[in-house]
Amino acid sequence: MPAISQDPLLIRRLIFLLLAVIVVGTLLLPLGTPPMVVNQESQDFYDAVAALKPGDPILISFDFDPASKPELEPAARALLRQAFRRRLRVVTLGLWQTGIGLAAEAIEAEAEIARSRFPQEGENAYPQYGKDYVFLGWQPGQFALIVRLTEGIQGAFPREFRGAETERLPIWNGSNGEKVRTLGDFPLVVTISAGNPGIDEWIRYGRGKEDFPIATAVTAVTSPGRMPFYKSGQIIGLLAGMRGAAEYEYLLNRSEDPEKFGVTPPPLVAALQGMNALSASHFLIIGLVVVSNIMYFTSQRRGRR
Amino acid sequence: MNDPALTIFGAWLSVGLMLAVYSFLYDDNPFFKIAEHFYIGVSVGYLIVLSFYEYLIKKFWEPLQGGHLWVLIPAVMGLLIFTRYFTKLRWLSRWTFAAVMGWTAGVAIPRTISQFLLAQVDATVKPIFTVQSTPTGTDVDFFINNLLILIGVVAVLVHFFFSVEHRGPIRVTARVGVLYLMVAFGAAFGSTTMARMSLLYGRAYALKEYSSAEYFYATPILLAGIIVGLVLWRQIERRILPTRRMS
Amino acid sequence: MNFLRQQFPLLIALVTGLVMIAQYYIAGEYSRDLGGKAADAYIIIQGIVIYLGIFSLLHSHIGKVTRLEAGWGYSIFMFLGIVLMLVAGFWSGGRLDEGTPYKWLYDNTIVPLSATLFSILAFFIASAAFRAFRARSVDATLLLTAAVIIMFCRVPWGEYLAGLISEEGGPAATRAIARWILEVPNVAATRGIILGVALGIVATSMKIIFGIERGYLGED
Repeated sequence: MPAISQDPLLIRRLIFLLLAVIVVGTLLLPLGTPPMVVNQESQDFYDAVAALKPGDPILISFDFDPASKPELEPAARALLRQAFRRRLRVVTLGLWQTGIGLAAEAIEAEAEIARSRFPQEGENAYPQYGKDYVFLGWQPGQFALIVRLTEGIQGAFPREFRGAETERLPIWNGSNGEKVRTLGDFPLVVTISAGNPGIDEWIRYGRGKEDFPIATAVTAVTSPGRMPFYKSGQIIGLLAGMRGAAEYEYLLNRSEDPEKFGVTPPPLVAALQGMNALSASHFLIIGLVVVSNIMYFTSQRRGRR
Repeated sequence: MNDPALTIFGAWLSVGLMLAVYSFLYDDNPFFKIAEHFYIGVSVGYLIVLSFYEYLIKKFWEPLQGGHLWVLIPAVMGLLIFTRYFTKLRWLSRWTFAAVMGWTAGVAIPRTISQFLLAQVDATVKPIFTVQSTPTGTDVDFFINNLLILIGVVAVLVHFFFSVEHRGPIRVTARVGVLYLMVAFGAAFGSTTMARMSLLYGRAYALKEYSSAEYFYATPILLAGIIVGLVLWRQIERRILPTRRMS
Repeated sequence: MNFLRQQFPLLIALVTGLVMIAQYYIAGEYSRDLGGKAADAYIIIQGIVIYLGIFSLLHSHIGKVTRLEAGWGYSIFMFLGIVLMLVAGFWSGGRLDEGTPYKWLYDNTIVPLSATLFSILAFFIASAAFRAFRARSVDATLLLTAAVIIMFCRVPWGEYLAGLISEEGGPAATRAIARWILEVPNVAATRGIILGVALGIVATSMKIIFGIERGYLGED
């Protein structure tokens, strides 16, 4: 055993304490938001939603749970913000049972913000539940639910989360009389994905049967493994972890147009605010790797002598 | 439940549970075990309620009431799984497993070939160089990254191909594959670090929010409480249970 | 009787597998209806499997408490959690709207517990980075170098520090290096793994359908 580990338990606890101090320290110090540079895959994600026309349907699948909340909930909130701002028809569902509470909360919160921007009387009132947005809910089966959706959305969810009959909802009817029936009828599907079931299953079981563009926000753990799908064009936009969510928030905040709506909601900062803590903790890990390797090579040389 | 008192009580409950889990960093201890078991309990309870309304009622009971009697077939097949608890009837569960596995396999084959094989091979086989004639002469573009990706994909596949002994050129190719894999694993580790640190930041932010006067300083008070509790637990463990060390 | 125990399950797997492959290639309303019902049937069976898992868990912990096994006291907290969530959930009619007891309990128990349990991994990564990640070989050095580059270049402070060296070129260089690692060697290796896994899935699925792979049937 190398000489560096005289008391491994003490060293371990010191490292834990150091990490805690660094993360809490960056939270307490008034460091401000660091400047953001947007990576191409995040820009593509933003552009994919921005390319949709008002009235277009978008399917958003909340495939994450509270364990991935800091990485994916900011992305989910920002996506809903952009979707409502574009006046899209927002169809949502969830594949992870413990994430349903987060999904329901995010959808209603962003719908409420959207209501502050758009007229609320008559036919133009936006967004109305059942007509402009709907939360279909959750079912067991994981990837089987995606397979079911390719054969018919209304049949997959006979009733939406609040209990209304899905078939009769006006949200499926487009302005040109076209009706949304399957995944292939969506100009964009987005999955906020923490693992399995998630983007891999949407690609394999969704795009494996129907042709539709798909974008995704994933945790940083899974983002390198999704790059082959992004480079092949199977994914048209990719937000990688909290960094990707921060870039997306930055793009949305920057593109707010106060003149258009007269009301500007609070800026999205949940992920942006975490960039300092993320940077500091990364530097700590790099420092620990460097120090431990220096100690290792030093002890190796001493041992040879 | 929008009552301010309940909001504060909820904050104290959250912080207490969070700090009980973090106490594991000191050592495995009763606070952590209580939080862990409580988590299993509330998760199971949540799943029972959610599946009752989203699944039993909407997916099974209401269609049955609406005359779709066919849902009884998968329901009975699902119940057959419970025969695994009875030795003499256990074989009946095989019918359900066979149907499930057959469906899964049948659904997977064409979709996997389409999206994981053909699409990925298509993305790999890209031009390595192009030759174009222009008014001024001939333009040759060399796409080194496409070449590197092609080499890497082939090398990694060779590394995982164990039906042929890795000797000579096969060994060299497999070794190149390993080098590509090391870089990919390094990128994965770097990204994993980002992910885990993000989760820690999320909790630290929540604990910071709950340390304010608005929540009656829940975080510092409960943190002090947990520390005192851990010290007392350690004392009790050393004096009353000297041979039973929780590690 | 032996047919019903041995061959009949294999026949079920064969027929369902082949029907689902055929259904993929046949368009039309009837095919869609069959595909939808088959998926619904799978979902219904999976729902029952959830209850099997819950039953198994409860059975195990009830046994622990009644036999007063080591740690039985902790199981009481598990039952407490179940009861509280069932009461809150059914009282709220399964609605997760703000203000319902179900949502309150979800926000103040499941969310913090789930998030905190996974955030502990951050501490173990830090500890592992110090104790285990040594450049002992060429492979390990390559892995560590790639990891350090990604960790440095993908955070704003890394770009800022690079900017101190060269204001425009620094951040651009950090982004370019990280991008190259992720888009070239990482894509190549990961794609190789995806292709390998896909071939494995197709081969195993064929073996299940044609009865060569029977492990899922369990013992006699």
